[in-house]
Amino acid sequence: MRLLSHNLLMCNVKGCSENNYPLRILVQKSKIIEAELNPDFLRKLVTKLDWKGLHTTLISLDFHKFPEQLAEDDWKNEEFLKELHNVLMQTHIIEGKLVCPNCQREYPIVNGIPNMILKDSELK
Amino acid sequence: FFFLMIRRPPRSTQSRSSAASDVYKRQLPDFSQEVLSRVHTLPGIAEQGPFDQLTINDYYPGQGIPPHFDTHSPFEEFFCSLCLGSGVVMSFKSHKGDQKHIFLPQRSLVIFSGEARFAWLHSIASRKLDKVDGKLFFRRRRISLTFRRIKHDPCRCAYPFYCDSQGYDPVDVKKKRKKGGEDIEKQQGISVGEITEEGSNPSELEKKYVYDVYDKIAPHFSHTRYKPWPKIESFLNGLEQSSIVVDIGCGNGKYLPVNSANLYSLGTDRSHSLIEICRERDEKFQVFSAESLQLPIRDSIADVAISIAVIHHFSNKAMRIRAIQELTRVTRIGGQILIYVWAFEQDKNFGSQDVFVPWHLQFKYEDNDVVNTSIKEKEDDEEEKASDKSKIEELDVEIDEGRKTVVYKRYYHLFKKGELESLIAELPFLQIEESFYDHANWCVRLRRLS
Repeated sequence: MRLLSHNLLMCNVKGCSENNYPLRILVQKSKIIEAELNPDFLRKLVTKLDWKGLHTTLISLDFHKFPEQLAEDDWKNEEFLKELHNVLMQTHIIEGKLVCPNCQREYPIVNGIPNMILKDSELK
Repeated sequence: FFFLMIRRPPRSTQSRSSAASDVYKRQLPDFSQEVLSRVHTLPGIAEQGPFDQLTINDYYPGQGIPPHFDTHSPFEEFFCSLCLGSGVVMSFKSHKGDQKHIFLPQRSLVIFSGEARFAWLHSIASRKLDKVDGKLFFRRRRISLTFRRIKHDPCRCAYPFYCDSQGYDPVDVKKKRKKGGEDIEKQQGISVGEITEEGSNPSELEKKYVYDVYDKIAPHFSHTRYKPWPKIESFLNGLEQSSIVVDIGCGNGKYLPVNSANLYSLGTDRSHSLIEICRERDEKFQVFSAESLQLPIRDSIADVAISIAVIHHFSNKAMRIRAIQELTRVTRIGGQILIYVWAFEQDKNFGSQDVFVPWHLQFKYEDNDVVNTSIKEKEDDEEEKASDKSKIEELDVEIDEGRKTVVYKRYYHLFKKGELESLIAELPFLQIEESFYDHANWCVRLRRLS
């Protein structure tokens, strides 16, 4: 699971509607899988996402090189593009957990796949 | 210009559809002009325009033609056939199983139109005599002249389930039959009976006859689901660069690689086994397992949400509505939603809307203990026999000795024409931009409004 994908996820357990995003990530194993950098594609994609949440997540994983707010110029910076691409598109979480900051529900990630199937008691 | 085609009675291995490419001469023969001048004034045919294709079939007694219907798109609706040299009984069969036999007298003209033209199979039995009103008629050599008018635009008939312009692919269906894919499983729908569950959460029915079954059959299922449907492929190929696409109920990830250079696709399915198979196919696929009625996906974040052959697994309206609500919630305003559900109206007779459709799981994909157990009497330990039997009963499967398969039942609610649209009409913020039939599914493409 890429960090880009993680930005789309939230906890939807019954009763959990606030502070349920972004999910905290505990990484046990990650992997770099190379992908071709397409600056246009990346810029358009990241612009749709929630940079604030992404940034918080990146910090929590010790990626401190990224600005709190994105500026136009950042997208022209090759270094920035390469690093962003590496961390958002090439880094995959293989083993770990996603944890809801609100209800503390843990979703295991095994073999790159988060299992987010809810129990009956968690259904609305 | 005109086409003339003369052929010997077709054998069963030949294609049923008339090949307009078998051009012999480019002019309708003179002897057909007199008949045509009379036929061309008949209602329906007069409006359609003159016939410009003629197929002549030469039948010796004992020769017939297997059940078939004329492919829709090459020819206009009305066609007619002149019966010369001998009378014959022609048989008709509808997709619902109704049968009719009509005696075509010598020197008669039969005109096909409407339902008989588009949706019934016609055939002539391979025999030497016919029985008409209790009397026996020995056939003589019979020559039929079938006149058609070539069509130059797609067919827009009211029988999409047989229509090659509207998604029916007869060649594909035959291929699938051989491979034991989707079509074989539609052969017998076992009626479910009354559904009484009212709630909007998955019930025991979904758990036993959808979730558990898919987990069980996942590798075999994936093996038979390899070809993306063209309309869905072209929809995905036409999306803007960097579109975020969520595939809710992605199965084995069939659509995740489509247009992958331009799109960011995320797939989710309730079957963790199927999701694992996705990842086996490509470790870059972004997939996770989750409940589609309560998605762990943020509001308004996707450009497109697709739900292909999923919502028909929910046994009541409340769940089906909820599934559509979730698709809407995760899609941004102005984004699109594509939904495909199995149609009740298709060339297999299902009998009722709520059915169990069998899945034949080949022994090689099944656990040994299920395969080796049978409900027949054995000289086994009484206790062992009882617990084995209850395992089979709990699974609600049958062993098909002949096909060497374990037969699972999957629950489906088949949608009637207009049913999907009426569900959507009950929800706010959705506009139907396209509504169509494709490969035995009813489909809609929606726009999420503010």
